Parts: sequence; structure tokens; C-alpha cells
Amino acid sequence: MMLEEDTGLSLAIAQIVQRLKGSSLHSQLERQARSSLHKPEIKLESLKEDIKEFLKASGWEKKLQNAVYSELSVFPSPCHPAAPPEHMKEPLVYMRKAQGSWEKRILKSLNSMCTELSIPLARKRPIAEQKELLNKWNEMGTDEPDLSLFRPVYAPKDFLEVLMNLRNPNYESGDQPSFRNHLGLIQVPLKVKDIPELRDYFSELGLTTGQLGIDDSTQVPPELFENEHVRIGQTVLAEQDSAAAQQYVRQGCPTALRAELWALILNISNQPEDILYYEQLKSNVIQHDLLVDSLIYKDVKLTASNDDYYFVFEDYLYQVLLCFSRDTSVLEHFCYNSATPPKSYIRGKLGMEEYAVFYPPNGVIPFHGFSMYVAPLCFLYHEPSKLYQIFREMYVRFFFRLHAISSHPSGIVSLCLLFETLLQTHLPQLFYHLREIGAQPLRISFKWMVRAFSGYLATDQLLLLWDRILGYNSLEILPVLAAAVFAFRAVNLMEVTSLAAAEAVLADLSTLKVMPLLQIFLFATVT
Amino acid sequence: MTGGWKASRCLSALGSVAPGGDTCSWQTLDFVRCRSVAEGVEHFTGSCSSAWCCARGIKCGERVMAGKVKWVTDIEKSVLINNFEKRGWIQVSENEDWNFYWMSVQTIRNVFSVETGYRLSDDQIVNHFPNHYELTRKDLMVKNIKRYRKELEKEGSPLAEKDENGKYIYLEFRKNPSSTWIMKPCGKAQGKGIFLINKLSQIKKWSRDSKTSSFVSQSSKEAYVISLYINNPLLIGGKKFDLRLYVLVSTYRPLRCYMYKLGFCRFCTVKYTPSTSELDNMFVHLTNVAIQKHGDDYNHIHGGKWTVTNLRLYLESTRGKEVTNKLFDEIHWIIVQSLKAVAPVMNNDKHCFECYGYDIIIDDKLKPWLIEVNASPSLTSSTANDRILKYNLINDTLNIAVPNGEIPDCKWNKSPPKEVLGNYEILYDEEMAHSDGTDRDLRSRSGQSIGLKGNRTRESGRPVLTTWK
Repeated sequence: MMLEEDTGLSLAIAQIVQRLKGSSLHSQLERQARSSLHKPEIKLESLKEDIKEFLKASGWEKKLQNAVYSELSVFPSPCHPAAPPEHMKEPLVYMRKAQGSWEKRILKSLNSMCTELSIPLARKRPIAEQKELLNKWNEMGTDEPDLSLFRPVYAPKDFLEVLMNLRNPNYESGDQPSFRNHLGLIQVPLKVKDIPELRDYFSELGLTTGQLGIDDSTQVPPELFENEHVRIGQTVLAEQDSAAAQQYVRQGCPTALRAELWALILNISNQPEDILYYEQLKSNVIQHDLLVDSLIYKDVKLTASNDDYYFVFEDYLYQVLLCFSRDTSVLEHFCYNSATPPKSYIRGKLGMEEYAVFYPPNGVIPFHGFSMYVAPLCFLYHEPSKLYQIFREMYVRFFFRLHAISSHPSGIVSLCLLFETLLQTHLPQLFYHLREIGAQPLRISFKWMVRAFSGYLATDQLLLLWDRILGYNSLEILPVLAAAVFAFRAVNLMEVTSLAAAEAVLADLSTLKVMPLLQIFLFATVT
Repeated sequence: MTGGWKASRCLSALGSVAPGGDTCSWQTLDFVRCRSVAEGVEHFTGSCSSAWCCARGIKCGERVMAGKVKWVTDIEKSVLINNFEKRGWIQVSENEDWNFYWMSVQTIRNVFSVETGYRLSDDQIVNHFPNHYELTRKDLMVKNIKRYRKELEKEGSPLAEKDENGKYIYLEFRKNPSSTWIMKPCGKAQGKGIFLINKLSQIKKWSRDSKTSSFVSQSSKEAYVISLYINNPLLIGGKKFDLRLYVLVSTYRPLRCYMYKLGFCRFCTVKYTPSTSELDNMFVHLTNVAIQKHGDDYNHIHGGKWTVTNLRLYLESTRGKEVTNKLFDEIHWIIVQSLKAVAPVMNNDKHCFECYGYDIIIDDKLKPWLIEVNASPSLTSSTANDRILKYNLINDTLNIAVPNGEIPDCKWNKSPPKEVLGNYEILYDEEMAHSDGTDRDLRSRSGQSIGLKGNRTRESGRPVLTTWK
């Protein structure tokens, strides 16, 4: 349903203005404008123009630009003024329903664990316990609570089962299943890009464009690409332009500039009020204990603590994730997330809305592997409040899509479908063979995509991949990489005769170089 | 390396199987390709179906040096023995004619002691220099560095520069009376017998009460070195760590040494706190793996170890590229200087080579400090990754020390071709540096990287270090 361009644009502008109104940036701009009145260059006759000029020269216009850009990147464009709010979450009814039932299951699982273990969902800590936790804040990893009775609420493979059973009730395929139909696990008709469209979309990854991850290797003299690319990166940072940074990182970030570039793209500036907010969350953690805390502990102990790269940062993970659970500002993202935060009721008041709270306070129930979203960021940010903000922004822009059922092109359902379609179209023999031996490719690649490859790739490669996620503001690079990995190991995969053997061939991705794989798959494979 | 292979019938060149099982009798042949290729036997993902090859980790088609090198060792470690067997070398006892002896430091003392009058022949190589303790004993290293410093001063070298307080800028020992001091017994390794004191007055207390105090008591008199404990180490994830780097020295005069690219960081499993109440908690302040292994939190998957590559990535991302390059340059510089300092007093016996373990700590200003040098770095593997690393370390070391895997001739020029270096790279080659002819200003080492040209090595991210004199 297309709107006329003008009405669409003015609606979008109105919404952005609405959201930015009352933000701290708004008050800062007002303050700046007011203080500029004393300056000699501001004349009464041309007040408006002079103030605009002043804001531009002092870099405040740029900050506003970045904020607007951020809003544009995060919030979907309005579809129609009359569209109900659910449509911004998820336009398709059957998807909304499926997400709803999935959520019910998760909540049931959480509640039953709660009842079994007789642990409340939340409780206030006694003073002595609060004091102890405060002392141990920087080394919660040394704690050894008994977590044996806790189990993750769900694991990626449980989620995959749900996705496999998704059906569009309005879609009647009619024909008998044949090799022409989709042979994969995902059986919903969503539109995904094909290779020509992907080549266009990811044009900066083409063979004739310089890339970090390829053109900065030892054999290539730095004068050919790397030096110039670094120089441009420094210029982008000096200009503090979010949109330019996003374009720039499509060719990869130099390691020394990456932390700042990502912060610029995500519009994180670590102001005093942000630090204060983080401290507030920290005090919430100290005062109250949540059941999900134990789930977080368990997850970190099971995943990051055993990881060759991330075990060092175990303590930071607690400091980020425990605060994250209590951050109610995260609730805002649910207006464009197909998921809905679970509600819990004060004891004895089930069903009474005035006694309902969101649980956990941020509405996000962690699953097995969740902490791996945070771990790679620890290589870039060593200051807890900045690390926290970067992670939170990454979550509400990207990661939430990896575990919610939606029709969005970056949603996990579309990503799975894109993966299977790419494989079936371009490696049909391999796809067929794997299917025949009971090793549906998605069963293996699903966990890579749900974690955005964290914990599977070497960290430097993972960061190059996430550069592109930020650069293209899309997760579609994940299934492309997954398909490229299968293509790379196709010869060995053709020889296996079981799912276990296929898993073994693809068990170790730590030696892979992602950019050459992506380039070859997208641009150098005969279609 | 050895996973997933079928150990089936041995297809040795002679086609015969030694009685009693599946061992090959082809050890006596020279330079034979693994026969399974020639036989056209089906192999799965590159594995060899010869039981003998399988057991020794040899890939199909890999050339095996079935030479006649006879080896002895008194260190029963699999990473050593697997490497010898893979080369087709023959194990003998020390009383027989041997070519290669991987000895412990006790044995080397006997071999070269005046009393035994032992003479090594031209085709014998050992893995230690006779008086390596000039480098590895802390008190002697201090003495040698001091002497070296004086010599530099006499030569007017810029390295012996002093600041306005008369302290050496480059080759200094840390002195700061208000800090914590570390007492290390000179001869012991593995962190044994080390303890910390807060004030120098505690030394008196210790030597008086050694039987009753909580410090480790010693049964015999031992020389101790007091050195300043690094109170402000660089912390990553809030944890203290030290750096273990392997350096191979093939000759001291001219100095030729190699740095192993795959060094690692060893993290403390317990949180670091500089508070004095933690002083007695050995786990917090020491990172030596041998001690960490017994802490509650020791993890058997990663063993608390990080690769140097990870360290580099982290430092570049959080501190920037220039300071990281500078740090690594300084680390290499420290190592070379320590070797140069002992070179004049080292018995440069041509039968010897040595692989040292350098322990380095980085402080929070990104300055590296040499803690100690080990002549017998541990060959025990604490994790699977560890085992692979040490196996490759020995493999690359042997490729350099015993060229072509043939019976050694210690008269060779000890100049291996580039291809055999493996994961080693040249750290300093005195001959090459002098033959360069150009006069390098050593002052440029402080801050700017020297001689950056096309030949970078990305894995360590620094230039090949042959530019110092």
C-alpha cells in the first residue's frame, strides 16, 4: 500500500520529530542556541539564520543529523497513518500468532522452572547480601553458585523446530512436492534476494573494491589500499558523521578505528547521563535478585567461560547482562519487534492488570548462547558503561531479530530461507545429497546465524563480519556467509554419509577468512 | 592431527610386517614416501592408512626422513618423542653412540663439567649451552646486564643514556621503595619458593622466622634476588597476565636467534587486587601456570591462555596501532639485549643450541618488563591447544637445529634456509645486521619502528627484526 511520497515523507518527519522531542539532545540544542545569543555574530535581524549557522559551525547540526540518521536506521518507515501499531511490529497475522504461541511456551517453561525450584522470579536482597555483591562486582566470575538445577529456557534448536512448523494458512502450494519446490526446512513464502540482487545490494564487497580482510594481507603492499583507507577512516571520525561512517565500514574497519566508528554509527557518545544511567542499573542489580540472573550466570559459564577468545572477559559479561535485564528503556524496541515482553503478576493478583509487571524488566528472556552477543564487543570497549551502551544498541538494532518470528528481511525466518534458497539454487547437488543423508543444511547453519557467528569464527574475522552488518544495516550477510562456508567445504561434504559426519566437517570454522569466502561466493561463482 | 584415521594393515615398502603387530620395518629406508599413496589405497580426508604413519602423525604423501639419527632424552614428554619418531630417528640410550640428546638442565651440567672430561664429537648436538645459567639464573642475569651496561657506556652507545637523576633510561631495574617487592629464589622455577613482602623490614622477619612463618621455608641456603614487583600490571578483563615467548638461539657469537610467533598470555584465574591483604594469596599475584593449575577456577579447555594474536587485536582495538607496535618492538628489543648481554660470557659451544622461555609482564603504560628466562620451558601440555602448540614448537626447533633431519655436523654454518623456519622468524642475526653496512641510529628504537619495508609479517604485525646492530 503505497503512500504518496509527500505524505509519506511528512509523516516520517513528524514521527522523528516526535521521538526526538524531549530527548537530551533536544535540551542540549536549546541550551546551545540560548547561550549563542551572547555572541557578536548573532544579530537580531537575522536571528534564525545566524543561530542555524552557529549550530552548524560548532558541530551541533552534525549531532542532530546523526540522531535523525539513527532514528531512520532503527525505526521502520511508517506504512500508513491508519495502520494499527501491530503492523509496525509485524504485518503478517500468522507470524504474529506464531510468535505469540512461542512466547507462551517460553514463559510456561520459565514459570515451571520457578515453581519446581521454589525460587521467586524476583526478590529483594538482604543488606548483607547487597554489600557482598557490591564488593564482588568486578569479579563475579569467581563466584561459584550452584547452578546445576537451572537449565536454559530454550536453545536455538528448539527455536528451529518452531520455525520449521511455520505455515501461511493463506498459501496453498497445490502441487505435489517436487524437486522444483523448496526442499528445505522453512516452508513459508517470504521474498528473499537472489544472487544478482545480493550483488547489487552488497556492491561494495565486489572484486574491484578494496576490502579489509583481503587487501590488507601481507602480500599486498599497504600503499595500494590500506593506507588510504585508514586515512579516510580518520577523516570520517574527525567529521563525526554517522552516515559517512556507515558507508565507510562496508569495506571494513581498521582495528585501531573500529571502536570509535561503531560508536559513531550507533550514535553512542557516553555522556555523563549515560554513565549515570548505567550506575543506576548497577544499583538495581545490587538491590534485587532476579531468576533470570541465574540463567545468565549459567549461560556465561557454559559458553563464554570455555571460549578460547572470550574467557578473559567473563566478569564484564555479568556486569553487562545483569544490568541489561533490568533496563526498562529496552522496552521501547518492542514497538518494532514482533515479540511482546512477557508479563508477570504480583503474587495472588493473576490477571489483574494493575498488578502486572514486565518480566524481566527489559522484556528479554535470555536463551542458551545469549552472552555470546556481548563477548566480541569486549575486545573493543573496556569501559563498562560504554560497553553496555554499545551492546544495548546492537541488540535493539540487530540481535533481537535473530530470535523472534517475523517477516522482516533481517528476521531469522527470512535469513534461514535466504540460506536455503542460495544453497538449493547454487549448490543443488550438495543440497540434495545432504538432504538425502538426513543432514538438512539449515540444521547445521542455524546455530551460526542465531549467534551471528559469535563463538564460531576467530574474533578478528567476526569483527570484520560485524563491520558489514553495521555498514549495510542488515543481517542478510549472515546467510550469505553460511552458504559460502558450505560452498567452501562442498567437496568434503559430498563424501559424508551422516548428519554427524557433516557436523564434523563443519565443526571448526576458526581458520576461515570471511571476506574472501563472501567475495568468491557472491562475485566469482558462475550462476 | 591424529583424529579419525583407520589404523589398518601396514603397507610398508618392504611389504612385511614386523612380528607382534602392526609396526613397520621401513624405518631403515631413506627418504621413502608413505607407501599408501603408491599403493593407491583409498584414504579418507588425507589420512594415511599405514598404522606406522598414523601413530606418528604423518599425513599421506608426506616425505619422511627415515634417517639414522640416534636420539636420547631424559625428559619423557610425548611432544618430544612424537617429533623424534616422526622423523624416523632411532632411540638409543645415553651410553651408546648418540647424535641428538635432549637433556634436562641437570644432565647438561654433568656433560660439560670439568670432572667428567666429556668430549662431544662432530656429529653430536645437545639442546643446552653449557653455562646457560648466565641468562637463566636471575642473579647472574642482573650481573651480566650491569656489566653490559657499563660496556655500552664506555663505547658511548646511546643505549647507556642516563636521565637527569643518573638512572639508566633503557636498561633499568625498577626501584621504588614504597612498592611491593618480590623475593625469588635464584634457581627454582615454576613459581616455587616465591613470595611477596611489603616492606624491606619483612625480610629480616622472614629470615628469622623461616620455620614458623607462612612463607615457604627452605631447607638449604639459597641466594635470593629481590626485585621490584610490578605493582601496576596491565589488566585485561580485570585480570593479570604474563607473556610467554619462545626464543631459539643457535649461536651466541655471532648472535643468531629466532622468535616463535605463537607465544601466549597466561592469565591469573583469580582477580588481581593490589591491596595488601591479598599479598599472601599466591594465586592472585602469580601467573605461572604451574601454580594456577591448582586454583579453583582452572579451566581445562583454554587453560587460562590467550594467543599473542588475541593480545595484539585487543591492544590495537583499545589502545591504537602505534602504541601496540611500539610495545612489541620493545619486547623484541629486551630479548635481544638480554642475549647480547650474556653473549660475551656464554660458552658458544658449536654442539649446542637452546630454546628459551621468556616471561614478560606488561605494565599499564604498555611497557614490557622481563621477569625471567627459562632454559627448560615446560613441555607439559595443559590443554589440547597447548599440546598442538608445543608439538609444533619442537618440530620447528628441530627443523632449524638439525637441518634436513640428517645426522648433524656441528661444523655447519647454522644458517637454515627460510623455508624451514616454520613458525619461527628471525629475531636478530648479527652477521646479517653487520653485513648491511648502514649505520642505524639506535635512538630510533624509542617510539618509531625501524626499517618498515615491504616484508611485513602480519601474524605478528611487525617488520622482520634484522635491523639492529
